[in-house]
Amino acid sequence: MSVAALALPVVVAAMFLGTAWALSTVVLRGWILVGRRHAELVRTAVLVAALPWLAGVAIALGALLPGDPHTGQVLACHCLESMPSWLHLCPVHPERAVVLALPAAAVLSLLLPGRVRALGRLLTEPLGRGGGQAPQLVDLDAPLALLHGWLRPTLVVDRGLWAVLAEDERSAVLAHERGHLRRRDPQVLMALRLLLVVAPPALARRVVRAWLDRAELRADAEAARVTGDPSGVAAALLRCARLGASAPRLSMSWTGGALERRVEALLASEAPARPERPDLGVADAVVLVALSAAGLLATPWIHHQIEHLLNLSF
Amino acid sequence: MARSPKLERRVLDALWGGGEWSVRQIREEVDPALAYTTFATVLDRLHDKGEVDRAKVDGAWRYSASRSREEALAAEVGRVLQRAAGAPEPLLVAFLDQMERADPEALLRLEKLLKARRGTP
Repeated sequence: MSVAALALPVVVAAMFLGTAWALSTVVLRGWILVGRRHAELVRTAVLVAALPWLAGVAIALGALLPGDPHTGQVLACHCLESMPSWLHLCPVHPERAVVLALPAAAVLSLLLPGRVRALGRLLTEPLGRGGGQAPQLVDLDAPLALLHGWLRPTLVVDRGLWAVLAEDERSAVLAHERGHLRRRDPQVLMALRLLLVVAPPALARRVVRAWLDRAELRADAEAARVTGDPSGVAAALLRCARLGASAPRLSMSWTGGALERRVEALLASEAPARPERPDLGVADAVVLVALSAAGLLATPWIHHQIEHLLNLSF
Repeated sequence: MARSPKLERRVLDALWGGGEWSVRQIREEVDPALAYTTFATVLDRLHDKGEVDRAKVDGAWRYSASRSREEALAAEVGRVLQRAAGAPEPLLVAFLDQMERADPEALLRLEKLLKARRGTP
């Protein structure tokens, strides 16, 4: 394959990543700002994180697939209509994109290594061993109850923690973790983190933190519903916090008062009557499919606009 | 798919049942449709990872789990926790985030709040 033939894939990859990165910066920042006032917006985290991907794919497809914006036809090659001087993006004539290869390579060299490392970290995360809702008691270095793995999560509880918890506290811990399982939180968290791979890391962390804080509040509410005793769940949280504070191997840091918010929320409310629904549902899928279809249909127009922009710039 | 982690897990599941196993026995237990060499490779890899012990009996390797299912799970979770401790974002869905701690004053205040709610002295 000649260097010229490589130019178009490099340009298309840079367009995808550049678009996704830039849009993430704007959209996620806005989402975080608005989310401070409207907490319920946090449930849209996955949908919002998907937007830069959709836009990136639409731009990449638009760059790659020639189309006729007048007829709306995708893959309607306009090579013959293009003037020799016209900077033309087309898989039939990839050599026309050579002039763009250098800036595209610069964009990729800036953005790609970090994204690949982040993706690599996510892909090596354990899948889990399953095991349903029954807790697996193991000896950990810290008094923790957690879901291990994201695809087939295993409910793991430290044997030491289990031994010191009272019966009602055990019920609260299990109901909380089962609430996560029922709403498929580990899978949603992984989907969110995968989508946020294209975003600036600092913003991605804030989005994950916001989503996870809400997921914990919802799991607490679920535990309160199942046990019928919100204050019992709060007591279990405080018990674990006390035990965790004395765990020598835990390197802890202040994370903005999430524990206080959770305990106060539990003590301020009655147990909810109904379980909450997962964050990802049919409505979200419909929105994503509709946006994808709109992006695909717009590729001739996008292609036309990209070529105009490029010809103005070069 | 000799190197499938899923197959490794199925082999370990069998070994965790206890006892010493030949490759042939493991194959019969896990999936007789797969080749003998597939299991030999998987067991070799598990031995390299330290997941299984082996000893030669009458010229053939006999394999056993080097640790119990619970110990293996604890080690796996321990690795994730270590990784999470150095990560800037939460990696786990835990009852209480291992990175989270209320300061002692806040903890006292919350405990008082709880007692007031429960009506206990």
